[in-house]
Amino acid sequence: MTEPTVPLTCRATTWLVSSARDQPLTQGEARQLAAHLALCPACRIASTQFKQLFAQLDAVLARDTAT
Amino acid sequence: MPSRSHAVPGSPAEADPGQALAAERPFLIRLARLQLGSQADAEDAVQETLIGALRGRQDFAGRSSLRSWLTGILRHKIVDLLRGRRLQVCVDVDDLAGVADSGNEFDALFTLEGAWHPDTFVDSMCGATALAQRQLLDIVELCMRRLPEDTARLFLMREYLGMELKEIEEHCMLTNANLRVVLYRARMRLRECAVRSWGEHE
Repeated sequence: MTEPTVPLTCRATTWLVSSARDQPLTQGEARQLAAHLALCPACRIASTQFKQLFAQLDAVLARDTAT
Repeated sequence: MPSRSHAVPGSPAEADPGQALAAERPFLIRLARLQLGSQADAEDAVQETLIGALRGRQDFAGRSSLRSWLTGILRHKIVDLLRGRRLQVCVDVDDLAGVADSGNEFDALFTLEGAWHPDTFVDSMCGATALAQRQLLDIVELCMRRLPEDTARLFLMREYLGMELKEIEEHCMLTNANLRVVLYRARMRLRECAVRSWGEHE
């Protein structure tokens, strides 16, 4: 179990960004993630990179079109 | 880099629908073979997809790229086939044995404290490149092809077939922890591969 108030590492942040693609984060996780992103420029960049990558994956795998 | 044909109505490819469809076949076969585990089953599923597409091509009407239209049709065929099969061995159990303690795969990316390592962190964004959307998608496809086969199979069950984690766990007889680690590793590898390509084109 993760204490909601414990600051995340960048490494743990990547885990949450990946997890959020599969299932909603808990409120505690979402708070931790937002708090870390607010203070960490590198994780803001990485998080945007993941977002871009996921959008491209959706396009390659036709997840963004209703078929 | 694989060639990609995004035929749009009125384009030269559209003049010969059969040829335009055939050009997408290798991509579709790769997707199907990973999921179905057999070249013959993959060829059958893709053949049905292409025949169906040829028959229903008035439904296509250029609302998406030809590839994504076909990719969507194939997805339904694969999901039906997999659900009909019940349980299957999706991954080599010996390969997965190391998953739990494979956290060190990304050690070079982070400091001992778990922060991004300034020497290895790549900060390129795809929006900062001169690449067209089509080339960006080619990069993702190429990066996906570099994933180990077992990883790619599970990753695509989630990302392509859209199966829920629980369904994949049951279907493949995997633990939730193992599956989540496999998906995490796949995404980390894809990010690393993609951002390096973006960086080359900045």
